[in-house]
Amino acid sequence: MVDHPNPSPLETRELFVQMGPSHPATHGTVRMNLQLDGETVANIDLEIGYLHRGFEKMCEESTYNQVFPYTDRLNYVSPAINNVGFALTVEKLLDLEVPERTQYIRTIISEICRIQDHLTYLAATALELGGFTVMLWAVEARDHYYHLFEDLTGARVTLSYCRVGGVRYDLSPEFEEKFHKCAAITEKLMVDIERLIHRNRIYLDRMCGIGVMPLELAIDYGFTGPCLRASGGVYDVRKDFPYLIYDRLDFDVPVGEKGDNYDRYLVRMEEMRQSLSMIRQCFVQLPGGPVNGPNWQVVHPPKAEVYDTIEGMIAQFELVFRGPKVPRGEAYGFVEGANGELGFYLVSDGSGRPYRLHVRAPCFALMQGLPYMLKGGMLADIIPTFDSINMIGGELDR
Amino acid sequence: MPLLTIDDTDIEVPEGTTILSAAERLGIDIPVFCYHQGLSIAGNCRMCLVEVVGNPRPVASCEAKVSDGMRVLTQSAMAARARESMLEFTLVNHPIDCPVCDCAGECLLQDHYYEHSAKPSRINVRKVHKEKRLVIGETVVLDKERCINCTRCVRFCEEVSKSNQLIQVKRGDATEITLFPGQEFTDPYSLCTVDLCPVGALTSRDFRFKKRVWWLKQAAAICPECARGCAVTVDYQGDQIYRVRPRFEARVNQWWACDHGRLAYAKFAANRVTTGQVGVRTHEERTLTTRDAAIAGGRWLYDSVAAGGSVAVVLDACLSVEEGYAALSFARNFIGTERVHLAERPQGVEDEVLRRPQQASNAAGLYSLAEHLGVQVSPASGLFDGEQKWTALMGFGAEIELPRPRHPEQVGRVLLFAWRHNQVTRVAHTLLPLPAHYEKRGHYLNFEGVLQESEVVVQPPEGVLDLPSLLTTMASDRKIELDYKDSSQLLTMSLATLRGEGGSSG
Repeated sequence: MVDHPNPSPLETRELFVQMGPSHPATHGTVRMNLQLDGETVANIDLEIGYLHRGFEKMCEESTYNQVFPYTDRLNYVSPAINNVGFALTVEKLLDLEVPERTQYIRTIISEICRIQDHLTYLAATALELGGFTVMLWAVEARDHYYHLFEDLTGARVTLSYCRVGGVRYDLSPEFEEKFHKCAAITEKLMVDIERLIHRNRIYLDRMCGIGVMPLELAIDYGFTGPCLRASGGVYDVRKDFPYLIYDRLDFDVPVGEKGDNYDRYLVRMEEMRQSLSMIRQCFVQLPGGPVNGPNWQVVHPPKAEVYDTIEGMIAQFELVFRGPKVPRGEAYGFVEGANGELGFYLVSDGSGRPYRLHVRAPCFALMQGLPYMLKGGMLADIIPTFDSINMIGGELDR
Repeated sequence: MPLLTIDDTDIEVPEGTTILSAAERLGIDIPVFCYHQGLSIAGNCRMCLVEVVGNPRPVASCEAKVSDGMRVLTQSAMAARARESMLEFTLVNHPIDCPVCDCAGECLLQDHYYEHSAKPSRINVRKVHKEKRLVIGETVVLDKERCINCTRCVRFCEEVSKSNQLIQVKRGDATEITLFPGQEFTDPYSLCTVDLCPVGALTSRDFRFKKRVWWLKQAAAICPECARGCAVTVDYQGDQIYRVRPRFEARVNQWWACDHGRLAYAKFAANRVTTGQVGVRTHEERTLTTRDAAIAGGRWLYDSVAAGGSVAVVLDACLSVEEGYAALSFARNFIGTERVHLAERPQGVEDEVLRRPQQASNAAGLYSLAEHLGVQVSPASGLFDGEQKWTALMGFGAEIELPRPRHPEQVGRVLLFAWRHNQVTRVAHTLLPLPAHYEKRGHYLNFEGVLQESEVVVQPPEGVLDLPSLLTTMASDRKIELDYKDSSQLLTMSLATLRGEGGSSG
């Protein structure tokens, strides 16, 4: 090797890079305007809104039950939780008690959706770090639940399963057995996946100590859900403000310490196990009875009544064309979504359509904290950190 | 005056008031089927039952008079149960017709049942079947199964239109509405029975199956068909009008409107003038944009006035106050005449309910405007009396009927504003489009001196501009100023003139 005389340092300058809105290594449509100093992220400016459909405005033109298909498209990875959240909000305003069986069914599908959501997170994160096998396995596990939902509602993703005052269909007699099969497959695949990545050098290097979010800052940003709990915050709507029948279930809320990517991964893995256990408990406790109440001012009458009696026909007619009459007032209903607290703030003018609806989307708060988590890190670390907050455009942009 | 309590609220009302109207004053809504403010009280539907404390049975609030110290409960268990039971009873024989019933969506039976009962059926006997889809006249179809026997239509024919054509016959669940054998329902106010019918037993043949009512939007307008100027609600969707219904206006038409006026909306869609045409009569016809045609016509008019020609100005009595003011302003400032002719159309049908012989809605308004502006008005029928010769005739409005000139030299060029083609537009040299009645906003003064406003219901066809702005275009092209500059100034000035406030000085 020839010795060069001490070279003068190369001149450097900051580089501006646009990442997204459709970047192959991110999921979700969001644009990051990056200011790079070498490979270090000096600054980051997030541009959101690419998936804005005017969800809240559309709801003002729809009867309460017509809103459910729209809620499917908020966090479309766990649609049933959105369905349940909206139904609970309207029922809060109606002061309506839904049948116990329905409460159990809603809990079951919410928890299945949570598992699906976390599996999606797992698949995407691993894939974008090169773990193609993990993606295939996680998506396989998720797909079994899609089949389960297809049996239940006819739809794989956009379930539109809840109604004000109940759910659209009762569980089929085979549903429980099919679920247990899915659960067994999920558990096996989770063990396999953990063997692949839990102590994988590459995975650890990309996850441990990366994208750290300290607890106090997480609270300031309004973090909820797995991302808050990974930073050590002990808050879970299911525990702190129990809804449906969560207070009758025995479950733990996993909490992390460091608030880095790896903790967020660990929290979600444990949450899936907790969810599986919760659903099993639900099946043990599941009572019989109808899934929809007898109140025709809110709940659609059975089809036999609609076609064969004028009473059922009129009730159906009024419910479809005017919508269930929700008393004047306002309510905030909130549930533990897969990404955190999912809230619906509803104002009713006494008609069959929401006067105003606002969605408190957990992703929105998480995205606020994202620049902090990325700043000062490496360019390549954007991918796992962005994945670890599991941003879902449909919910973020609404 | 008796002092009573309704649902814990005290109210003092004059002796002889019914419980229902006392509750109405308090804003308490009691459901009714047979009760209607414009009709006598029948008290046969029993939907308005309320509890009167101390009375062992529920009381029909539409006919029960208040008394001092009375305590009325409209939401008590007894009242609620009475309503629920009456609805159950009313629905026993009601057919499952909502999906094919025109009334669905604006049906009182649907609304009351949903609001006050919403309980499943307990009936396991067959429904009584009756005649359906009976065409009982030119305008109305009767469905006897849907009828809930409220007799609103019967009372209307007895008390308001006084045709006495509809009657109620038979008893029990065989009761039905019918006509005398061999008669047709020819009442000129027959469509009011369709409005009155709380269910879909009487439906309008004109509106039947045209549109589901929940798609319709409503605008408040004035009927243009006679000097009464009935207040109407126009149901429309997009650019199409589907039906016209009376709108309550105590000073003019109460709750009613005649069939002729409500069905007249259809004529406004056909045979429209939509572009300016020059040289129609001389077969040198050219189609120009409305603005260009107006300017061309205005220049010719200006030249002929400058050359000392005489111009006849003919106003249709259907013009709104604003349009009339603009036309009069044009006549005074552009043509320089203090004399106009008014086409009044006095040959219509008159009756004792609403209809007036004069088939135009604003003759009174135009007379009043002209008087305050110091313009002399004479009837258009005298246009060619004597040996009067006109170099030009300027007409405003499509309904003008001109008398036949005694000899052809009596009239030169005809310059006409019209919303549709008719016999007069055929002789026009220059033809300019106008918005039809339901396409413009305007005020109308009826024959009794009631001033009302009519809203824009649908948008005019493309290329159609409103009369006042066309007139300003023509005037400003010749550097002439009219009395108004824009529509808001026109509105304030025309209404002020109508009230006699400093009109002629403008």
